[in-house]
Amino acid sequence: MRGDRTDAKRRWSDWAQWGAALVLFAAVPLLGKKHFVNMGNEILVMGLFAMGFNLLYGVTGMLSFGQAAYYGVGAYTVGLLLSKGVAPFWVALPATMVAGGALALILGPLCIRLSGVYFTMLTLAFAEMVWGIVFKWYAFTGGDNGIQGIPMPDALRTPLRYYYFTMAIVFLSFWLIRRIVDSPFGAVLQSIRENPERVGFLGVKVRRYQLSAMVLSGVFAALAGGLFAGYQHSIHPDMLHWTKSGEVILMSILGGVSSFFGPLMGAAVIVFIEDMIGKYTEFWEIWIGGIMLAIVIFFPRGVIGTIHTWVSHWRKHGEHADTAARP
Amino acid sequence: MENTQTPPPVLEVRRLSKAFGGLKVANDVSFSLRRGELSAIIGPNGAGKTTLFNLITGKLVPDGGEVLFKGERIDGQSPADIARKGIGRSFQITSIFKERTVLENVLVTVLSRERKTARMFRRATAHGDAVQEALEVLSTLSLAGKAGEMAGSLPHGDQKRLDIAVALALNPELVMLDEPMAGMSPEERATTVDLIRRVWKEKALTLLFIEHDMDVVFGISEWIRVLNQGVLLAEGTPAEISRNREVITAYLGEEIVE
Repeated sequence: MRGDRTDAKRRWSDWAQWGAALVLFAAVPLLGKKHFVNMGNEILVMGLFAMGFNLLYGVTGMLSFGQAAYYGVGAYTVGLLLSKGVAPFWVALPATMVAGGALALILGPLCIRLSGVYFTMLTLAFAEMVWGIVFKWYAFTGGDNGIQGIPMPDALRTPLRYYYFTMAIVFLSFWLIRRIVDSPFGAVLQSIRENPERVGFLGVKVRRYQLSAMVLSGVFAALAGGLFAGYQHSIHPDMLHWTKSGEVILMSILGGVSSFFGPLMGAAVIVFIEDMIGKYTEFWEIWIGGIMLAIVIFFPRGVIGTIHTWVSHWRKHGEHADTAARP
Repeated sequence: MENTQTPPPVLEVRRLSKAFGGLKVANDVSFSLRRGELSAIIGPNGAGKTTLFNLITGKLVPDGGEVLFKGERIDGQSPADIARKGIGRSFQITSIFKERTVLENVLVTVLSRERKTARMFRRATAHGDAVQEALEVLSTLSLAGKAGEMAGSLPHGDQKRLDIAVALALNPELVMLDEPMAGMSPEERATTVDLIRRVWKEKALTLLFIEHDMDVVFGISEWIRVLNQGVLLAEGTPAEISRNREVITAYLGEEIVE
């Protein structure tokens, strides 16, 4: 009985969050400013990147400091295939997922040999190597010049069309991530986060699942990178820099790693801050630092996570008042 | 079936040894578990009881000797492989998934046993049979009423019983419980002993447990093994053990023998 009621509540709050997110993003172009469409696009792309990262961190408990490698490889997959005329965008975009997954299949086994902070350091080290290759290999990647003028198919040439295209892909990915988190596979990942050793004693090969989480996370990061390349028409090795990996960690923690839409919320907050404060001062990083500090202090479970806690607290008290009022 | 007189042992440990540095934590330990027996391992702290569990369940690799489960060697295999063969264990220091609900703790085990954990699309909770089974396991340890609560928010005794439920959800033939009643109040101990004994009987389990509470050990065990400094000092029925001079001097003390 009680379980059913809380389930129903959860489902309702779920629908509300999905609905709100869809309506908000769909409405952005109605504001009629190209600038907002650009910002919306960036939030969607970074949101997908962060949600994919959180599959690894918030869900499975593995803190990767090297997700920029997958994001960048996705972007370069689109950039190289299109600028060299090898494949059309419609092939290049799915190819990002193959590239991201393949990179995770190569780097993953090397990283998951260690756990905790050592795992984190390995992910950082390998991502720096990938960055180094992209940065130095002028003949193939264009080195620090990056790739400019990536041609887009006619159907996506206007920012508005590309925005809705991105929104469709990103929300489809969110839905897939949600299904994964709620599945038996996702149950194993969350159990690994809580207590990896015990999971082994349940007959589960823990490393296999950790690797799968890395692959999925890499796939979504690469897809985000590919979408970014299509929207900016130009890419740069900075996309693979460790600061980019730090950015998704920041976004996820800011929004809340234990709530589904937390990382998207975090992405929105960071993109907004960069935009708003960037107008007035070039020292916007200081503001991000300050805001981060405030969030850690006042929203210890991230923005969405802490709001959740408030709501359930308030509900509980509401219920108590109800029962007290009854004769 | 054909050999009704001496059924093969469920578990056979042969000359098992393990050393940490110079310290022999398992020293030439041999014993076997009869199918369906309910037995205890006792011994002073540091006797190597938990180490023995770790050697059998794959957390540690033995330096020497063999472990056979239903006639098949399992020593040196991974905990996951050993668990899949049908050995479930609980932990001295409660080992559960704290930020998951009580039901989810057990459900993930059921799904693992059913080899369904590679499924990425259908909701875990939409696997009705598995949920039903998880709830049944929870009810055998009287935790079904708390299925929706966060495991980490349960009182200590309930967490301890959940740890056992997670092991039982594997539907193992052999269950090894490492101090299942540690830290419980006398009342909780009494109920838990009853629950363990009932589930042992109903599911025809082979059950081996480590325990320091001698009332529990001598009250429910059919057979007792005494470990001291990595050596199997003695084994026998409770009556035999309580009369054993060596055991009395090493561990029990005089007061238990009236």
